[in-house]
Amino acid sequence: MGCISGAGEDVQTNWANLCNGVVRCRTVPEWLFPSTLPYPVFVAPAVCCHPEQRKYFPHLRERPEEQINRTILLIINAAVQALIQAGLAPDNLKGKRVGMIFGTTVGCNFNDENYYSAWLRGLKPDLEPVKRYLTGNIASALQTFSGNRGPTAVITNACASGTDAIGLARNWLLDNRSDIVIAGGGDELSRIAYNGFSSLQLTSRKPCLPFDRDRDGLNLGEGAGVLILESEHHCHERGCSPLGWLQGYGAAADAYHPTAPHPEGRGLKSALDMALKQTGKKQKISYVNGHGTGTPSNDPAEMNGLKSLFADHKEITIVSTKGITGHTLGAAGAIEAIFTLLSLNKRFTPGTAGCRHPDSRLALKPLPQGESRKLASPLGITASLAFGGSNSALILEGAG
Amino acid sequence: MVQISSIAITENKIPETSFTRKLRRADSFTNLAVTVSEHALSDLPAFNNKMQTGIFIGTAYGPLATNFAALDTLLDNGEGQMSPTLFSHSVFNTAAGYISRLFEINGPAYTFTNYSWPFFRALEEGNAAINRNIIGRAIIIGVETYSQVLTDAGHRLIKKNFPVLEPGAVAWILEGEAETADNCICLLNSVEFEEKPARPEDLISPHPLVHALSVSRTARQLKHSGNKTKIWSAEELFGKARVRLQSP
Repeated sequence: MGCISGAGEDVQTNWANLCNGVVRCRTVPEWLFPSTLPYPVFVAPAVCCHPEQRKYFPHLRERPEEQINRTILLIINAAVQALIQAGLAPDNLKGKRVGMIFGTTVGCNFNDENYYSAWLRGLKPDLEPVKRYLTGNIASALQTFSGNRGPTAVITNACASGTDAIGLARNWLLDNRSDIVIAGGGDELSRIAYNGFSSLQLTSRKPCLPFDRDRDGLNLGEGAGVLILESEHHCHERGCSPLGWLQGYGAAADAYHPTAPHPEGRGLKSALDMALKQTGKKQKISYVNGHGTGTPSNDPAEMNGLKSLFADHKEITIVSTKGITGHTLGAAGAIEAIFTLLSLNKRFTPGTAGCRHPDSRLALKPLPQGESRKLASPLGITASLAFGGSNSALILEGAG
Repeated sequence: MVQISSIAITENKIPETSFTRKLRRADSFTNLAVTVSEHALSDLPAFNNKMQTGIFIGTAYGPLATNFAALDTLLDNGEGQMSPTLFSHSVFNTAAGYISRLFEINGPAYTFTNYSWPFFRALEEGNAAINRNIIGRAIIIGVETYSQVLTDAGHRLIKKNFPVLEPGAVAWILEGEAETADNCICLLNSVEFEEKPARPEDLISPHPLVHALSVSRTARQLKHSGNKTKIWSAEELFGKARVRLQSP
């Protein structure tokens, strides 16, 4: 697995900062976009194509780096980390059906304000931004850069996109549509999304406080998370041990409101139900990495959905990791799947950064900041809720 | 095998709908997706298990014009003054959210974004979800609304023979064998497509709804053609696609 976010440039750094409660929330840097708004963000490290990445994606050489959007660069960074950890050299991918499926929100949009402003003034601006947009489909771009063959898909299910990408990757393997799938999500910070979320009054002026009684909104973040998925047979055939197993996946719609979650977490409960039925191990779930954005409406809805399934489940630990990454939108589900797998493998989770005073009105109690817990089993959940009422959940089992 | 129970096609204008009031804030992208779904579902018996219905939308450009309309409010009004309604409608899965809400569908809802074969990605995933018994009914939608910005860029990129980008939508209702009834237009035997690296000007033409419309017409005609099977195929500079259809 590979990861890059405001909490660090790789999985190890992200994990270390999660455990140490390092919060790198900051004002929007000028190099990303100018802003005078008071809402801090989580900024991923600068990314560029280094030689290791060009080994996996040799056709990167054919495109100047400034012609590749930042979301794709973030994903490539995470994907190469993941491929290296999986022990997959570029040659190992040749002749295989390498699926590529990613979630994004900002990464699929035309966000070039300079082009648009010039066009509005009746000018004929240089077409480079349009070309970058038309060659900016993440999965198609990565397939082009790698030269591999296999199915590709980009899921634009708002904040559940990354989770859905990983879940559908599992289906691709179960249906024998791919030998290996590079799956995850990515999103860059953009001025449009930043202004959009603030106009919806969803962003906080402080570092976010997921599940806290004083929570007042989210912080936007950026980054990418990528998992390499393969069938157990394929993994053993090449002499590798898995980091864990994706045991279940569920997705369901709230059918309730364009932007707000159903107050009782209706869709989340259905998604969890669907995923848990595939494992038959509901009682063994020890960990939930919640969506936990820190908005007034998300956190209670999510806890209500979880309570409907885990009300009498004493061993379960619920955390949010957005206090150290911010809400990375299309990347969130993938980054959080990685944190879930790390926690399950270590049988340990730190508490929720930002949650100093757990909201007593929530249906279930989260693990607050400053506490940590040993996990009773290697089985856990990561869940995502999204605009449009999309909900999705993954059941992961750590290999230990 | 999965059956195609209904096909609806909308070209150029948004058709009549019973959801006029509920769509008053929606943009044309969402309007098209909802109304084409309504027409596709209108001839079918009600399907009571709402968890057993899935939504699969394929689009190349999503609500692109709404994205620019939201951007207009930022450019005109300044920071922090973007229209929240326009911004929330510029999110790609807004149409899926409306469909799930208006038709009370609680199953999985996906929006796939791809410049080459967006409808076929949605079709393949819907077909697979039924074959895996995740759902019993799938609404497959291809929808595009484009934008004048894109049209102008297309003319400059391609110079001549750039196609007219007319908004439109296609919806298929797929059902599993357990759900099959008298409504079978034809059976969906297989969906195959592959992408290959392409230049921007190759991706923007032909416009992405062309193939969705073409395969929809082929499927409709099969029922009355007397043929047992029909293979629809297309090849473009960005790849090729093939759909095998079978008479009921």
